[in-house]
Amino acid sequence: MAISDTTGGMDTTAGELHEEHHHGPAKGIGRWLFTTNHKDIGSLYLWFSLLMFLTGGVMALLIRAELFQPGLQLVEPGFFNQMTTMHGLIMVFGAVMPAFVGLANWMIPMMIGAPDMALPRMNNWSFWILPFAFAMLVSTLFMDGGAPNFGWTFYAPLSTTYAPPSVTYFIFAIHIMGASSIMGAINIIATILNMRAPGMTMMKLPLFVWSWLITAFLLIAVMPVLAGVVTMMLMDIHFGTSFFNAAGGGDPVLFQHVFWFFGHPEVYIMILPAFGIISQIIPTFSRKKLFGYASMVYATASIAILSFLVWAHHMFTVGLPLVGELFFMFATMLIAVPTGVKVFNWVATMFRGSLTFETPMLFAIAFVVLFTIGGFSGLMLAIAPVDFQYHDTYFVVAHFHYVLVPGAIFSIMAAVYYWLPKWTGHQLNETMGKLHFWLSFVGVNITFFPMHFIGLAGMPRRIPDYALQFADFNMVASIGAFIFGFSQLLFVWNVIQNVRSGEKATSQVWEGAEGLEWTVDSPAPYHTFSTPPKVD
Amino acid sequence: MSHILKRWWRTLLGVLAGFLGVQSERRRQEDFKEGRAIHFVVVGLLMAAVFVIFVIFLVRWALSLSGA
Amino acid sequence: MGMIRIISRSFPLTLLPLTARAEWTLNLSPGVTEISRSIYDLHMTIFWICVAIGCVVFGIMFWSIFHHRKSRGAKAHHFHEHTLVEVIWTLIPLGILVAMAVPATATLVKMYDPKDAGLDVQVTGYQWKWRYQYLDQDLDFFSNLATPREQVSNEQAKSENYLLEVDRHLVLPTDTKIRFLLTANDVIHSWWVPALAVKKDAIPGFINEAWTQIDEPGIYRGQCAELCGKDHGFMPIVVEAVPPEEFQQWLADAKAEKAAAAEAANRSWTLDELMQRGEQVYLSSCAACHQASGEGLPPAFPALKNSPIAVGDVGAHIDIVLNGKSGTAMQAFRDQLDPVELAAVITYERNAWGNSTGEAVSPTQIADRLGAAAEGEGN
Repeated sequence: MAISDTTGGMDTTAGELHEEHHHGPAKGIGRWLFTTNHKDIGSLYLWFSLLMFLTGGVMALLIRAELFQPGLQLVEPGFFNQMTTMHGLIMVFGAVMPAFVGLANWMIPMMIGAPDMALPRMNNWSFWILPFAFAMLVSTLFMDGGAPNFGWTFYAPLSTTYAPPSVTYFIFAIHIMGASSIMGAINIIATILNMRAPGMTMMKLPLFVWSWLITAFLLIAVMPVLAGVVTMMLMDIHFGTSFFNAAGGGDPVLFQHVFWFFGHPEVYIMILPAFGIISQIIPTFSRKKLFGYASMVYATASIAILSFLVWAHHMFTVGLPLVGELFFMFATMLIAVPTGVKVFNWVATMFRGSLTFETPMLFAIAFVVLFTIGGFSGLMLAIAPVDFQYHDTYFVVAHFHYVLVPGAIFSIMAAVYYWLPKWTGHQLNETMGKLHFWLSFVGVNITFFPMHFIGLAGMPRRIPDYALQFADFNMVASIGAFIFGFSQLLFVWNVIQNVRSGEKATSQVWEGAEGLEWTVDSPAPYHTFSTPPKVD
Repeated sequence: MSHILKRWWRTLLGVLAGFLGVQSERRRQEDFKEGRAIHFVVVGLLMAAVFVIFVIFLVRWALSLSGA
Repeated sequence: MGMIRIISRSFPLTLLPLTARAEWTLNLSPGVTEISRSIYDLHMTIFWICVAIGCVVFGIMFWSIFHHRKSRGAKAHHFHEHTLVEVIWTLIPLGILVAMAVPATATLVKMYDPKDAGLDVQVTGYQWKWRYQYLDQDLDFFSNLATPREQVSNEQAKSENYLLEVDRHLVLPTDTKIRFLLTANDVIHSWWVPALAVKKDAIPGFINEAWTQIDEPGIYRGQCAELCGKDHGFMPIVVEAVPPEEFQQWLADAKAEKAAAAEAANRSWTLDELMQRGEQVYLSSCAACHQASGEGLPPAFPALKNSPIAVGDVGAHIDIVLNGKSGTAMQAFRDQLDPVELAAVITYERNAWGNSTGEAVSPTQIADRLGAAAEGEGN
């Protein structure tokens, strides 16, 4: 998205007024391969994430096409399982996480008045190993025995003793993704702690920066746990250990404990940056300061610790002792409230503001409403005795898609629309943006709302074919999925169109926007804040 | 001596505010001016342990009430 | 690679309206046990709490979206914190949830009390079928999906209980506390019957406990709830609840049937008889992996057509069917099938799809083999 920095002649004239624009990017492919510029790397992350989003989306559409009617029409059950697995892995590790890292790369230095990330060479490395990880993961589709088929949660022993041979590639790919995430996180922490402009105290950090700082610590804490669990799998598969093999004295449930010890903080890794983004956008379009900034910061910080104490609420049916069930139920309920009520803060920010509804704001409002619905089903799932009925049904699928699609993904889209004029120097095409929003909003609800019903009616998740009483709502969900899926082509078109042309954007872009990133030109020059700005 | 105690007490209050998810702007200013990050981390971890113990007692109490 | 199989001839059929339709539902079923009803009540309570909170939050939000828009001349007010309000709106939901935790805990405590059960049933998950052992009753059988493969591949109209029907029901007495002991033979499965509100993972190497007491006679259907491989969607559970007297009768009948089957192993069987029986057994027990065509799904599930095992030494063939092959999905069928079924299916595999060995394996041959193995274990 930074391409326009070099191409638009009109744009460079604006940049020349500033001395920081004394040298631009390198030419050709080398620019992208060897770049250490936070904006270039941010763009690489974002484009990569978009590619993965579309790849994972195609897999989702294949799943929904198969589930359009009862009976097997398109794919074999074995391939169906490969699709659900790859869809989950690609969306979590390939689409959502890199998109947030991309946004962090682009925006954090500009928001805190830093010239670049603290560790630019490592920044390059942490991006460039990602395409290899995913190329390896996707290549398993073409291997003998097929791709991983054990679900994105890869429970042992299905993922060890009974796994296809490609599981080894999957393990290696996870290791690389983990290394990339850890390096990205270290870089973000180092940047925020050391590179702030004079006067930009911790107290003044924009909420997006705060939420990413905490997310980065979470990443450093849990990615090694994930690496550990896949290494234990590797040992079981190739080196004769029995960590998870009951026949060798191992414990299949241990796998789930370790996995969810990573997995629950991972949920917050995917939602905290979204909280940050929404906390930037809603004040802008409400023309009013965020309500309860202090509370937001404190609550987010405490999540970093408390999110480690509730992992087994994903495992209520594995046969935990009663004491364990009660512990994790109580802990989950107690922790959910203080984090969940942050929604009230966004509503209070809008209350008595002066609201306008540009595309980023529409996505942000949809985020608040639909994420809250996901939060409600989360509350229901926290009630352990009832979870025995919900667990591993489409109700759970509805729940986590509500928090991840109109949650995390909508926040990413809101962020892209919000900051795109800053990146490209072109004003947004509001008509097209709003069209994309409404199609996505309608599509997402048609897709995922009926999943609550089929889940409650008794349809287990991860099945390629189903009983007849689930037929009607599955058909509705599939239609919604295709509406949602194809409307994302509009998103791609909007972004490309905006990169290529559009009305010239001002520095501030949005009337109510506040913060350092809005003081630099649009498009942001290749090097910003070479001389630190003064913040008072 | 009382000064150090007061600082830890303030830190503790800050951490508890975090657990509740509510903090006032004035308190936050004070925390960030006078507090030290490492204190917050240490107290935060301690309070997380206290939280775990609290929930364990809650569970035991609930079980004793229900007679299981 | 055969990643995508277009079942071309099935397309015209799929466009037809489905012959059987089932009533869809929006909500959890209240079920037929005390536990399932209290779970349903909890579910409805928390649901209405969420609806109420949602109405308040979204109500305020939409009110400001409508009234506080710039186009209506709204000017932003500059307030941005109110600690007391924040504390109140945090404590109210916290209080509601704490109140919610009380009945939830009570229900959970009841669910965890399997004492004084009148009947113990061991449930074992296999890829992709369930085994039910009535402990202390000397009764033990497997329950396989009964929906014909043609219905799955859309070559036949779907029946009313499509994918929720099995060859042998788990018959249970009503008004009796039944304890389930759950485990698995290969990967993790999860035994779930919504009407009983029993869902418990069946984990290899573990024995989990659950219990139920069914109030009303009837047929209750469920499915495996934990991804367990290729045919995870094809291992349903059917519970048939009958009054206790009827259950005793059924138990006696089932035992008599088992004795008769053992008797049948002693008479001699013709090749045709074995082939006919063998085909049935093959389709219900083997075709999921090795396919009805015998061509398998290599590499995980090898072909039997022209395979060295199926046309080679008969002893090796019997051995692999009886004992399985460790490290692969090939299970030991010695306990899953009786000697007649084993003999029939081996005979079928050696003579179907152009495997023309002409050999018939007799049930007595199998019984001897099993007997010898049992003796060996005894020593």
